Amino acid sequence: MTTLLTHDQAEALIERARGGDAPLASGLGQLATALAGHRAALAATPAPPPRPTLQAWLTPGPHAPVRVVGPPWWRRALHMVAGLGLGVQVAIGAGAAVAAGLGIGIAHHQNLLPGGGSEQQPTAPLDRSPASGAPSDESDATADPTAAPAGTPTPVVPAGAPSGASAGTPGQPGTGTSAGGTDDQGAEDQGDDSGQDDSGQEDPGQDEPGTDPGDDPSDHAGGPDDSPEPSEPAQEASDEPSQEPSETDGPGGPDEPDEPDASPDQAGRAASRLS
Amino acid sequence: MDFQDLLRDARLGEGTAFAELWSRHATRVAGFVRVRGATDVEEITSDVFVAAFEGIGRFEGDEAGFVALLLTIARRRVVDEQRRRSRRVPVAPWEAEDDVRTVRSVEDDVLDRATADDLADHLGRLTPEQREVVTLRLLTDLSLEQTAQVMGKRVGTVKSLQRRALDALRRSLAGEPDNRHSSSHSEATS
Repeated sequence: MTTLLTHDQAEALIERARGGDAPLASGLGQLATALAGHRAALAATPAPPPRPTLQAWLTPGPHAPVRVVGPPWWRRALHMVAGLGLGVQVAIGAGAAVAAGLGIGIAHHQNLLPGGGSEQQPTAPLDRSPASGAPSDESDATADPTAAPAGTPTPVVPAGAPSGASAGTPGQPGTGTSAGGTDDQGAEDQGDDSGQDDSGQEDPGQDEPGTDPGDDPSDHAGGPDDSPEPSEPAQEASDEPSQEPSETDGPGGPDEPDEPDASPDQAGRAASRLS
Repeated sequence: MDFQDLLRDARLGEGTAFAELWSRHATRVAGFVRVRGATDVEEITSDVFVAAFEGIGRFEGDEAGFVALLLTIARRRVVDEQRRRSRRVPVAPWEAEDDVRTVRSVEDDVLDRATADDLADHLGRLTPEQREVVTLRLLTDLSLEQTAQVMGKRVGTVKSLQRRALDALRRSLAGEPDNRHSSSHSEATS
C-alpha cells in the first residue's frame, strides 16, 4: 500500500483506538490495535505525586478560588513608595491651589488687589469710622458732605477730642469711641454738642487744610495734645484705623489722604461718590 | 459528579473539587508531558494544575475544554523547560555506547526490528508535531478543533499532521521503508 491515508480513515483509526466501533479499511487493523494498546498504556501510567504547592490546593476545605501570586516584596515596596510620592505631590499641589485661591479670594474681598485701590481707601475708613461716632458722622455725612470726608481721617480725632473734653466720660478708652460717642451725643447733645462736634470736626477740616495741608499726622497728634488725658486712649483708638488704610495703600497712599485735607471739595465729591 | 457541579465547587474554593479534578486528569497531563520529552514530569504536572486552579474562576466550558486548557498550559511549560535546557549545554564523559558516530552492527538492527512491536518506539520516529497530534488524540478525547487550539495551529494543519503521522506509523509497523518521512516533515512544518 503506497497511498496515503485519507482523513476519514485517520479519524476511524482514532475512533477505534478510543474504543469506538468505526469501520476500518483493510490493512489498518494492526495499527488500530497498536493505537488502542498505546492509549491503554498511557492511561495506566500512574499520576505523579503532587508537589507541595499543589498539595495545598488538594486538601479538603475551602480555598481561595483565585490565588494570584503577587509581585515580589521589593516590587511592591517600590510601587508603594512611588504611589506615596505621587500622592504627596498631588496633595501638595491641591493644597497649594486651594490656598492660592483662598488667598486671592480674601484679597479680593478685602480690596487688597491692585485696581481696587481707588475704592478701597474711602471705604476702609468709613467702615471703621462709625466706631468713633457712627450716628453723628452718618448724620453729618448726609447733612454736610464736606464734613464726612474731612471726618474720614480727622473726624475721629476731633470728634473724640471735643466730646471727651466736654463730657469726659464718653471719651473713655474703648467704650468712648464706640458707645459713648454715639447715642449720648446723638440723643442728648445733638442740640447742644452738635455745634461742638461740628466745630470739632470742621476746625481741623477747614482751618488746618488752609494752614497745614500736609500735617495730618501732626494734626491728629495735636488734637489729643490739647485735649485732656481721658481723650488720649480714644485718640489712639481712632488713630489706628485712620492710619491703616494709608499704610496699606502703598505708593498712592501718602498723596491721597492729603487731597481731602487740602481741598474739601474733592473730599466732598468722594463722599458723594461713596454715598 | 457532573463536571459543571465540580467546576462550581472549584470556583468556590472547595478543596475536594480540586482533588477530584486532579485525580481525573493528572494521568493524561503527566502522560502528555512525558511523551513530549520533559525531564521533570512531576514538577511540570503540578505547575500545570496550580496554574489551572488559580485561573479557574475565569474558565468557561465543558470538561473537554478544561482538559484542553490543562494541556495547553502543559505544552507551554514543556516548551519553556526545553528552552531552558537548550541554553545549558550538558557536559558528560565520553562513553562508547553513547557515541552516535559509531557504526551500528547488523545485530543491533535485528534487535531493533524485534522490539518494534511497541508503538512507543514507532512514535519516536515521527516528527515532534506528528507525535504530539497522535498523543493528544489518543491520550485525550479532544476533538480536532480542541487539538488545534492546544497546539496553536489551524484545524487543517492538524488534520494533515494526523493523517501523515498515522500513515507513517502504519508503514513503520508493516516494516515498509518510510520514504515520506522527510517530505511529510517539510510539509507539516511549512
